[in-house]
Amino acid sequence: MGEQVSQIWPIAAYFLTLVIMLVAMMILSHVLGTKAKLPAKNLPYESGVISVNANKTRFTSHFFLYAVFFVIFDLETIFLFAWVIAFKESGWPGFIEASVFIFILLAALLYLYRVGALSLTRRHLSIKADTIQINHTEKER
Amino acid sequence: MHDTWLKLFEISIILGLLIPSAAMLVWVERRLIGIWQDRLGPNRVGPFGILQSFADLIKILGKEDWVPPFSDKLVFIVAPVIGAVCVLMSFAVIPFSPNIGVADLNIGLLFFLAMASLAVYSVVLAGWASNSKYALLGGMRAAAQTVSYEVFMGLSLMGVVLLSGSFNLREIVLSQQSGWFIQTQFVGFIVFFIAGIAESHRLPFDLPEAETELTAGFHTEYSGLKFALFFLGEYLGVMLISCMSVVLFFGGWLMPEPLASWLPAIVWYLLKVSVLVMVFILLRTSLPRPRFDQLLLFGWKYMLPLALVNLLVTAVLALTEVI
Repeated sequence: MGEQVSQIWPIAAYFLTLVIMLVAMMILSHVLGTKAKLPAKNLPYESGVISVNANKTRFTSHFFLYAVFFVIFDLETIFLFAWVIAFKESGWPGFIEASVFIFILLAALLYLYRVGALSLTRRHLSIKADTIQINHTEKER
Repeated sequence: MHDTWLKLFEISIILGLLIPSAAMLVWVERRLIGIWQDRLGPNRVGPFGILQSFADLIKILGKEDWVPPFSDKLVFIVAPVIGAVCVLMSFAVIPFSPNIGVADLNIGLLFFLAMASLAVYSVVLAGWASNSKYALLGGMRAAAQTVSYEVFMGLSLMGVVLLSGSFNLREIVLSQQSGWFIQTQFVGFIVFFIAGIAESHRLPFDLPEAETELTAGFHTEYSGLKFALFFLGEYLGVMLISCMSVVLFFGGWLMPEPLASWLPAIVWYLLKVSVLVMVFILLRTSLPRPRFDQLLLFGWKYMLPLALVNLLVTAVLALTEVI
């Protein structure tokens, strides 16, 4: 218990000092800063064009699948950390089990790559999707 | 009690030196890029322009503390603070020399990884809270990029943990006395360094703030001190990745014997860090920016398998006692 406290209290003190310092800087700049009133100041910047629907804009998230893969592969990292720290104790049996685990994930990665789940550009070709489909079936024949 | 005050003094010294050195790094970078691109760079304020960053800092304090009326105000103000806090907190576990360092944490490496992951919140929240199209695009890119490069950042460090058998950064340094880990973990270092560049949003991986296409990306709407905090966070990120690389792969403060006695340990450590920082700057001057989907695919297709294979090979070599 004593050792844990001696490890953690400097971090807590460091964190407090840090937050106080940053907040003080923010307040200082708030006090020292000028306050200008200009007509175009309060518009979102869009390279000179007057913004349309500024806070209703939504973009398609092409990156959604990456987020899903991230959850899978980052969990893998956590399991592997547990193996790596006990590496000397687990020896060859541990290595074989871990490598089975790693190879399953490598195979999963290869599969994801082969079905095209990792490529962002595929999604933009939806207009051509029909022609691709036709070519595909022709090849099969 | 005496020790407690000494520790508090040490903490304030470390904090008090980190922020000015990040400001100096801005000057160093601008000067070096100037030299490499055959132009002058900042050379007016003080000898060799050395006071340029401090002049900028004073000027920035006098700028308006502007919160856009169309933004999500609370999140807008908090986002840059989160970024700066996360990066600065990571420095708490770094051992600068045998007895300098804020905390000697048993899970130091995991703490660093956790803070590096939390730092993305600042970018994503800033992009979201700005309610501006460029900012939103930048924030989304930052999320995708971090999610892709986070995965193998942890994996690339596992070889080091495997060889040293500890998450404690001080013990990792001490286990390199017979030879730095760069000898056996070269692939791991390369993968970690690439992930680090992506995490700190530096060129060639600065897609979230790519100025040629997104103006300034996630911090388009930021100005004054809040912008300076993002800027500070980026440069501290460069220093952080360099510090961690030295601790994990280049033997921290250790040097081979005849050299070690010439200079104090902390000086050797800082010398190694500055060499790596220069590599960061050199990369920025020499490499173009890739397309965004190429960047993501590169991470998943090459870096992730490479990190996994590196771990397996290291494990086999360690079990057969080759290394």
